[in-house]
Amino acid sequence: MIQFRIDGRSGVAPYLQLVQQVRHALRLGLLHEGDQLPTVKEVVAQVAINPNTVLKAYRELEYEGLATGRRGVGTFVTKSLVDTSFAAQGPLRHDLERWLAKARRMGLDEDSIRALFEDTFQVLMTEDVA
Amino acid sequence: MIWLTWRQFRVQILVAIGAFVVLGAVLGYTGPHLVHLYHDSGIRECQASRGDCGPLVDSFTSHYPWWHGLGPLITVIPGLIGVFWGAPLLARELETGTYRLAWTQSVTRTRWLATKVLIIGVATIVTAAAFTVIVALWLSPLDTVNANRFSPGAFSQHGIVPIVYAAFAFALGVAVGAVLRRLVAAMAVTLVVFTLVRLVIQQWVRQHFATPIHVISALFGGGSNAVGPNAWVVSSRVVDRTNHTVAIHRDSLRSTCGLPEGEFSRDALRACAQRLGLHQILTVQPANRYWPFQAWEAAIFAVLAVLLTGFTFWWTRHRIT
Amino acid sequence: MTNSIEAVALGKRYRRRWALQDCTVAIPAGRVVGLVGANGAGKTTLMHLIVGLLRPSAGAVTVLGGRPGEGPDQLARVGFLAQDAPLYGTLNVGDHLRLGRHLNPGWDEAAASSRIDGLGFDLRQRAGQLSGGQRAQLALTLAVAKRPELLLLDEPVAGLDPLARREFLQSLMESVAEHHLTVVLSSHLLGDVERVCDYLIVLAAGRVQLAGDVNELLATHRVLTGPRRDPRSLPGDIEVIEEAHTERQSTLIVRTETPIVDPAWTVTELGLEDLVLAYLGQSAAAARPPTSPLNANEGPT
Repeated sequence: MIQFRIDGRSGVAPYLQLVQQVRHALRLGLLHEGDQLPTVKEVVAQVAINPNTVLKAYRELEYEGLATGRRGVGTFVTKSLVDTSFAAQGPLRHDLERWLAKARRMGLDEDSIRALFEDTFQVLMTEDVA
Repeated sequence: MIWLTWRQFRVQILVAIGAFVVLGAVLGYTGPHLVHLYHDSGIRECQASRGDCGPLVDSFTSHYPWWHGLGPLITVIPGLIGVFWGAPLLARELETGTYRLAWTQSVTRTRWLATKVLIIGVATIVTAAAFTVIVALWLSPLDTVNANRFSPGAFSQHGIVPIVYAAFAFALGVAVGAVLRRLVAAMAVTLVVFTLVRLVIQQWVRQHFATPIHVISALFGGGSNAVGPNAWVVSSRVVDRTNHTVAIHRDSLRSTCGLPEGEFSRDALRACAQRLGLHQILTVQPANRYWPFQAWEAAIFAVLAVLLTGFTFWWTRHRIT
Repeated sequence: MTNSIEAVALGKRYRRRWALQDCTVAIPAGRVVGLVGANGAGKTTLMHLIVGLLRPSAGAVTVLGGRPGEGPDQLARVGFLAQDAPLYGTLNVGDHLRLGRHLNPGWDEAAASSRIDGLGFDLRQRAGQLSGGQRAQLALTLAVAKRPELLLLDEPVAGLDPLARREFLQSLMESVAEHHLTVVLSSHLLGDVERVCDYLIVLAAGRVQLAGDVNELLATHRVLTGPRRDPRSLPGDIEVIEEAHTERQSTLIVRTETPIVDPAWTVTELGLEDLVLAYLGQSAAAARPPTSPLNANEGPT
């Protein structure tokens, strides 16, 4: 079962944080298609937030096609975002190795490579949310 | 609500029951013996023959000397009830703030108060009655001997008035607690006001329930012999032949009559007073007025209790805001 | 949507001081309302008026369509947790539950028991020996298990340590989710208010400074930063809540329905805490005596 956290100081609206965390869990394979998301009651008991915030987050997930609500039963995941087959990961790893070699040839040291990667990663993640 | 009243009142009523059981045990154990002593003492025969029963009476009444405390006990019980049962009822809830819990359940404050006042009020009457009855039963031989139940102090300890005092004290405590909203202050004020009202009525009002009669008696002849047992001699004054009030006391009388120093005989003093034409005029409430007086006093305190209770309900509903 | 609470010009006076004045609010049902203000601002007074512990000196308040405190049915529909969680110190936990059961016809014994079990209470422990957090939880149980439609809580977490505070809010939100309660929660801790409340009322000096849906308030308030300007030069439909000026720069907190198009201003959004502080500051400034002529050139602070 997914565990939610709300960061009051992140500047991101609470309901969006919930949506993000669901997407993240889907990508990591912690949630699969057909899994039930925690009920509103369970979420607010875990994270002391307004139930309407949870409802709003779940509506957003429905809108994005990631989940669907079944009356009287709960909210269920409808789409997976991760492809866990090794076959898919292999080419990704190969591409990454090539990129790293290229960065080394250009003269970047370890810290610069790390900084470049994290910076780009952050931008991509924020774009994702917006 | 009945459960809650009981639960919050539990300690107080158990203390009362405990005290009653202890007292009842003591009185129950000694009572029959006292009756036995009375019958054996010969006082009844002596009083019937109008002799000087002094020594017999002294001997009888010095048995169980602690009986002198029973009357005061009956006097004190209503005050205790007012202070420990009445004053905390509203004052404690208001002072500790628990009224914010009690009055936001599904019971209106009027119903809350009515249940508490009714249950504890009934407990007050029953408790006061129980103590009054067992003490009165135990004291009855002594009351017969002393024949002073109409005197101011004893009147307040006998009959039905102690019960009504208790009801009044309870109603007073509740009302004072409602207005002052502080427990200790309410307890103190209740005690003071109750004592004052009781004293005022006992010393200044009671004698006016009915017009007293006047009885003439000889000086040093023994007032109670003139008016009989269980009558109330409210006051007396000494008058001369012309019915003017004179201030007199024993020493000046003795010197006027030429009696030697150290002559304390009542007979000699009485003869002297008669020769001088002095006698007493007694203001008296006769013995047969005892129960009507009890009824009057009971009515006064009952009305006060009802008025105070009505005030408390009005105050709680409209002014505790 | 119907309103759970409607106050019209509601006021309460003690001797000569008005603890609450001219309070006109309409609180929608099904919300978690944050009642925010400093100590002495009138929060407790307003709550006591709503639950019927106080009578208005002026105006009127309608609660769930009825008058506060009027009759057992009205009392049953409103749950109240007063400040500092008043309980009977000599009664134990079990006794308090019995109190709830005996005094409330709508008492939900199953809900009360499951809550108490979940919290790990010893039924025989006296209320006077409980910790602050436990007292708050017990008092919340009493308020919730009578199954009210409206629940009011007066600074329920004020004296609690952070863990107890979090647990209390979790517990409260769970009850809100389960029973679809309308909640009015007073607090001066804005962090908590921001987490759980979707409707806000700000009180200062006995008056309502601000009332509205949180999202709507955040959407209509903005911070404007720009070169030093007289705020009166702004268009009329922009209301200035707070202004600060240095020699060269002006920072304004404004309320507006329409977007700001003037390119001279940098427009940013406002957090709830800053929004509330701006309104509290506005009322404090209004209460202060006017600045002397000597300071006029510097502009208002």
